Amino acid sequence: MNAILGTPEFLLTLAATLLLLWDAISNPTPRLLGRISFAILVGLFVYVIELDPKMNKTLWSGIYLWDAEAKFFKLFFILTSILVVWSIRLLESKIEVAKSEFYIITLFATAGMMLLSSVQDLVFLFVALELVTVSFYVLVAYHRSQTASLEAGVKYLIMGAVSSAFLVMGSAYLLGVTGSTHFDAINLALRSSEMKPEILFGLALVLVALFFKVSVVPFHVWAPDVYQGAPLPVTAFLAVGSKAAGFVLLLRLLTGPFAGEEVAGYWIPALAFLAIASMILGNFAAIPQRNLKRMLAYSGIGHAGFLLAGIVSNFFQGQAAVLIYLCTYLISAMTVFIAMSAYGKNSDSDHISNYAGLSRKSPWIAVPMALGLISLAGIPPCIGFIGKFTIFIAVWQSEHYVIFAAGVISAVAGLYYYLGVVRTMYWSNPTDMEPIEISFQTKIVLGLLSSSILILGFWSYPLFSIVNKIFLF
Amino acid sequence: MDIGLQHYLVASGALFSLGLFGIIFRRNLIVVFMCLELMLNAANLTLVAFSRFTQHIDGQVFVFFTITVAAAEVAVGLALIVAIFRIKGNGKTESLKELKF
Repeated sequence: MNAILGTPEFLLTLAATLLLLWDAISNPTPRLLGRISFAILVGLFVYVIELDPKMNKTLWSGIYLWDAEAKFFKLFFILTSILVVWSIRLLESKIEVAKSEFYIITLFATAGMMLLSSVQDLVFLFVALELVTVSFYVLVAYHRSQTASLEAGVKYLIMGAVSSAFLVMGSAYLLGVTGSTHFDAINLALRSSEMKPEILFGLALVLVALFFKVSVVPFHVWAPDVYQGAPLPVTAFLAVGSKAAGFVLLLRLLTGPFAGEEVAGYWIPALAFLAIASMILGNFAAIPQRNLKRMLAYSGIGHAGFLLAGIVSNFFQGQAAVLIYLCTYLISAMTVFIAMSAYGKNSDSDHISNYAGLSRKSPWIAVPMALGLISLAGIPPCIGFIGKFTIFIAVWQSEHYVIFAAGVISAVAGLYYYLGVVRTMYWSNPTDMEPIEISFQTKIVLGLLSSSILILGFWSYPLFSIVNKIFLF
Repeated sequence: MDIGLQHYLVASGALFSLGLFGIIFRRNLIVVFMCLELMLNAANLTLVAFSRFTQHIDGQVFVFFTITVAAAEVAVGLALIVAIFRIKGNGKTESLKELKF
């Protein structure tokens, strides 16, 4: 029954291709296509939940692994994509041409991310990563008549292509030294021979490529521009989906073939340094930002630093903390992005002052958005606190006290700019008092997201039990 | 003189660095794109050289994937450059300065 393993990705790609053909032949309305994409993703979510995570099986001569962690990340990416599709539906009127393809390319990018969560081979890693990245090139530059979007597209393209060149070069060295691209074979080769500098060189190049994807300092320079210029749903997808995809690869590589103490002795200090730099720079550079998307980009760099700190920490505890943090980040960030999309239908600017007095104009948008921002800042009753807390515990117990101190300082800096936006929404006078209409369904989505922020914040047992099951198979 | 693995690695390393320098210092988008291709092809050269000297076929298979993916990237990239030419009338990197703090 091996054939059933690859079905989630296969079905999604097939569905996306069929939608593309259907769109070309009979030209359905984008609204309908959006509804169908949403239904496909929800169906896929239910299907993947039903699959048994315990069958540790592989496909295609071992390059595709199905385990509990792969299942977790596949569900994560599908959920992200569901919310991104919702955000596209809200902002559909803003897309000028080819509205239907926006949904379809999103589906392809999701399929790529789902493949990435099962990667066990460097060639497969490269191809799946490029499926995601090339889809993103198109999505980022989707507003073809706006120079900001095009500029963001070009910047993302150049950075993405540089990082994939680094990835291929690094893989070439790993292949040359160990004689294989498969993770298990690399692992075996590393354990059976002494340490060679070529391996470190190859690993460093591969890691640089992945650091570009997750936008860690010093490889973060593209992020603020691209986040600001891209259409809002794409910014959300980049901030949550693309970042998580980079982290699943880091986890697969660094807890798989490169987990041995000899290699880890080299990458742990390097990652610890990058984690500190990202947390500090990301959170402090976000403070003076006046564009909300740009601010979220810098705060995303800070979150990447927290996640790296989790990877640096003790083996299982650190990994579990990374997964929990990603879950909390998904829920809080997507709440903010969907609230922004619901508001963005009527407004053109992402300037923070544009959100002044939002609470009086539309409490249905303001309350979830404020909750999401507070949760991103990590204030106790919200779910974001649980994420930060588990990371801090993991860091403290693995005795990385410098990272801990940097984390505390940057978390405090984070409070300042997140709450600054909340203050603008609640205590500033709006320029106009025109109330904003949002649909009943969007109210339900926002309500579900914000209640999960609060409920999982108070009672986070489900979150922990899901993540614990992954490591206790 | 025998041409060994090291010669190939040095050559591909030099090409890779040249590509990176070109991306950083050149001001024309088309040239930047050519430099990106140069970097990818330098990586391909490394793969083929390793494959030749260690007798593993995997490296050559990898090269086929890289070439295919690079073609897809160029297709998207050139479409982007054309769109920029239509709006700005040139392909200079200096004209892309709208997004900043």
